[in-house]
Amino acid sequence: MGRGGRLRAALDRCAERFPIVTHGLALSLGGFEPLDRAYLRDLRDLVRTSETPWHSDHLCFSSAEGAFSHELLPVPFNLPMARHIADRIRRTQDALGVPMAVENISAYALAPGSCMTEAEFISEVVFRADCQLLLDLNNIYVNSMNHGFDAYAMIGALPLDRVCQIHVAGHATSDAVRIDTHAESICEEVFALLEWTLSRAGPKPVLLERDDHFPAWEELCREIKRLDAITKRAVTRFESCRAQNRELRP
Amino acid sequence: MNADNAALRGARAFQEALVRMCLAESKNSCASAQSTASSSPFPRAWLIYRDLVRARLYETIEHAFPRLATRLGEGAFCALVAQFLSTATPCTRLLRLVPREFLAFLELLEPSGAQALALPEWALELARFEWLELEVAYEDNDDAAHIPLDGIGDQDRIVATRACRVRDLTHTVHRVSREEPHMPIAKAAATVCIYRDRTTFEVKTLELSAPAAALLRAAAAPGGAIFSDFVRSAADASGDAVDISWLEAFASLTLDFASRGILQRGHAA
Repeated sequence: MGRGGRLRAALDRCAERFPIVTHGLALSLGGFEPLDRAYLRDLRDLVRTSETPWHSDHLCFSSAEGAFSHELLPVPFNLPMARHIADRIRRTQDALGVPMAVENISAYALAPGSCMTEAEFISEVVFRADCQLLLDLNNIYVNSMNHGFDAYAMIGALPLDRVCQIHVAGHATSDAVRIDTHAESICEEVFALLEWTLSRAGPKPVLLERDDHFPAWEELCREIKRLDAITKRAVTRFESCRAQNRELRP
Repeated sequence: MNADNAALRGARAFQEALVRMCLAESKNSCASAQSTASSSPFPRAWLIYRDLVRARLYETIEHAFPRLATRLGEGAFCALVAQFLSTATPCTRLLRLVPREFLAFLELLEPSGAQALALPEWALELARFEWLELEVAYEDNDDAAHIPLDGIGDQDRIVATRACRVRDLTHTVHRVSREEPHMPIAKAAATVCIYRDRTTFEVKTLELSAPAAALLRAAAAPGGAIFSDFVRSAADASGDAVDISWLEAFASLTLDFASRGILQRGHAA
């Protein structure tokens, strides 16, 4: 947004070859500060010029009392918070003029006041806001390990028909806590979750998130090829079940 | 509805306490967040967020001011960032603009504060210079395509591109490179042009002579300069007789600026 030079040139080159989907970290949808009109205006311009089919941001808050943490901080899973976030998503959608998708985050602690499961909370938000879901499978796996729940059961409880995109990434472990870093290779458990999810949700775009500690190009390509193979296998399974008029249940 | 409001009030208070705890200089200096965290089923885990927030902000600021960080040393730079986080706090929604807020914090430091932090007298100028390089690197592109200077007429306008800045310096901070961050910094006046190369996007710095600085300042004025005025301002600044050799030198300098992406012909109104 509002940037020229090398980054703009790179974006323009990508746009010549690929469709662009925008993704942000700054809306603080779970926060209590008013939505930032200037930010939304700039974002609307980007959304229009990039012709993105949707814009996504995270189910979290990042700012309070005018201070920005620049971290995805967890919100309590309860009905009032789901209503609060859904209202902000609807207003954001109206301001941007494109559908919104919300992404589930990694959490290292549970916000006090939670009385729903994460899957119930996400479903509530998505239905109330009438928005899409950007499903981050690494975040689900990280949370399942940090908070002790079954990742498959959680995915099975989500509205998979609302999933517009899937994110996969690697994570680190520090003092027995799993931390979403985007700086490691995808772990086997997340590969397995991807196959399981795609065979139930059907074909979805899958994005590998890698921000740091990049491996050799060949290694990155191997990871992408594996994701491709999993996607093809899972989607074939999904199509074959659909042809037999049966659905894979969680 | 009252229960809903109470739940949201509680969430808001928790959010405020958590962000304060993440940004406070000492993790023990924010009792409310500590007590809220201790009532959580996973109490110590909240401190992970403090580490993550501070690491990300520190890295972002250090990435923007690598030479300042190296020159000051890790301990002093860390202390400066910690003071910024706890007293000024990042208010921008965009992570990339946090370093600009850090610079504003440095600019507002009272001289006594700077002395207390033992900042060298060139520190602020080096920070400004490093930020300017970033600003130029990511400055918006010009509205329309580059128009070369070939065949420019007396009444045509010549303008500076957006991605260039002319600045007067009092210390030789522009000579400190990333490769040689420990190059001595002397107190010496210089005028520099920081610009983004038109083809490679690399940010470069030119040390300017007085006539060259006058030229670029004229072109950088809003709307640029009429070419004949542009030539006149260069002649006045040089104080030399305008003859064939002067004109050749002037043309060569102007074309060099244009080839670098500093100057271009203005667009017709």
